[in-house]
Amino acid sequence: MDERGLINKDGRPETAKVSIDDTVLVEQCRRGDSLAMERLILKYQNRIYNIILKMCANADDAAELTQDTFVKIIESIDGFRGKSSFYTWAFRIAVNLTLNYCKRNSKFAAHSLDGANEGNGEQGRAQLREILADANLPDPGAVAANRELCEIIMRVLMTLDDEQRAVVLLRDIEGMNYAQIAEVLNIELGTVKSRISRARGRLKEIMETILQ
Amino acid sequence: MKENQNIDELLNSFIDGELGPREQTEVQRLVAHDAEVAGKLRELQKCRLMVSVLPFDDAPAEITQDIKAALERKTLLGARHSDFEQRRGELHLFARKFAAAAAMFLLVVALGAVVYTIVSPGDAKHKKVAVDKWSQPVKKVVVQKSEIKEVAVSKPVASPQVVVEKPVAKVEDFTGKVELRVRDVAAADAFIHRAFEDNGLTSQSSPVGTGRKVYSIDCSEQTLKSFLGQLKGIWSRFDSTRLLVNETAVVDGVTAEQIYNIAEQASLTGQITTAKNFAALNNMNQRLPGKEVMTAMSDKQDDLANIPKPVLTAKEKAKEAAVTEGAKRIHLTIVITPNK
Repeated sequence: MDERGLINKDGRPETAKVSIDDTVLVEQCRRGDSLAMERLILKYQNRIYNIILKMCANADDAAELTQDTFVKIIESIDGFRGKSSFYTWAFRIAVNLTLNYCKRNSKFAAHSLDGANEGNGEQGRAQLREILADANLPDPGAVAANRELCEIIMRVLMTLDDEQRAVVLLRDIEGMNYAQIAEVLNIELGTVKSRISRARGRLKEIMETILQ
Repeated sequence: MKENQNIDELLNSFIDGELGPREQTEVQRLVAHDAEVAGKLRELQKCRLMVSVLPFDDAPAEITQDIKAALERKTLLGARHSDFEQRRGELHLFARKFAAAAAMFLLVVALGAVVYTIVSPGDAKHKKVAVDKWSQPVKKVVVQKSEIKEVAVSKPVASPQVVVEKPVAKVEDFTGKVELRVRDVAAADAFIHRAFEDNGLTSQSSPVGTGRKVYSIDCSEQTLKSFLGQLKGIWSRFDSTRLLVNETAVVDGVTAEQIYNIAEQASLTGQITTAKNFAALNNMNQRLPGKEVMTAMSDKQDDLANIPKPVLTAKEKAKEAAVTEGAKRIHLTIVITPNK
């Protein structure tokens, strides 16, 4: 059973720790235990919402997609055979719903890039320029504290393909390993590697483009 | 290009901790000896860091309740849908049952019609035909002595009837008396005795005073026929002949063949009726002129004359007696009276 938690080297509270109790909760939920169902929702709702929000960049849509995800999880929980962990199974539902949503709103990425090039957030762009020019790695706390820089990073993320953005977010936000990402996206491990490599290379290019 | 891709993937796997110890060592060595690779690694690390430090957005506080509400709505809708489906299923089931019942009813009606067509006495058309044929004979099955026969009857019947007919009355014996008048009784007696012997009959003549001869015969029909055929040779010598049938009917001027014809009738009524007919006929003949000629002609055509004399042995006689036992018997008394 998966016991790994969300990688957080920045000292943030570990809100996304996968528990071995998932199997018990799922079994209780199958028997109609509403308390177990609520516990499953409470356990994963923030993490799923966070990923969905980072993928679709719209809070309302993210909330609705999160709601749809949990409804589908509860409805489909009798069909969950345990071949994978509940954790990856739940994220698979969430990511698939969000990817479908993104396909229906495919023009969104282009608009976000236009926004990143606009004049707002000079402070963030300046800090981004410093980070990229500095030979050393930046202080994570300082980066997280700069709201404008975070917005720029989000806009850059939105310029990625949906699949590339998904692997980056699952890896760098959710902290999944490559195997889990492959399970969630139902792709090969090598595909995960190449997608992450291309996605990060693309991020660097876009950031450099923004600063020019 | 391919090599750069491999290096990028290798470096990304390195910073994500997806490499084994050996690969990790190789990457570290590569980075240590190649500034370009080291720079690329640092850029990738920066990208990764900038994404990973993005603020964590908690779900809205009400999302849990929203999820619950959505689930309840789904459940209610599902229940309603289920109710609707159940009602629709019930209607469908009712329709199927109704259709099955209707089909069964039609099948029963069709079978009933077929059966009615087969077993019914007939429809209106057939009834009319039956009325038209009312007066025509209808076959009736008659059972006689456990034997079924079909006979035609004139009475109309709606359907074939089975009736038991009374058994036919047993053939009745003949009892008669022949009175013969002759001048030469002795000659007649000798002839009759001879006829008795030739036909295997026992002479039972009983001499009575005044010259009368009385003979009693108890024989079969066939023997009587033979006897009378032989007796016919002297029949013309009798002055008068008379036959009394069962002491009821009298036939004057009776002939030998008439005696046989009367005696062969199966019933007593038939015997008497035939006797009366012969009596009337003989009476007419007596009154017609030239009766002697007619009698002679009649005698020549007599079948009895052609009957060969039976020549029976003692065994054959016994056998005949056994065979004829239980059959019709002839009880004939012959009285010869001298005609002075």
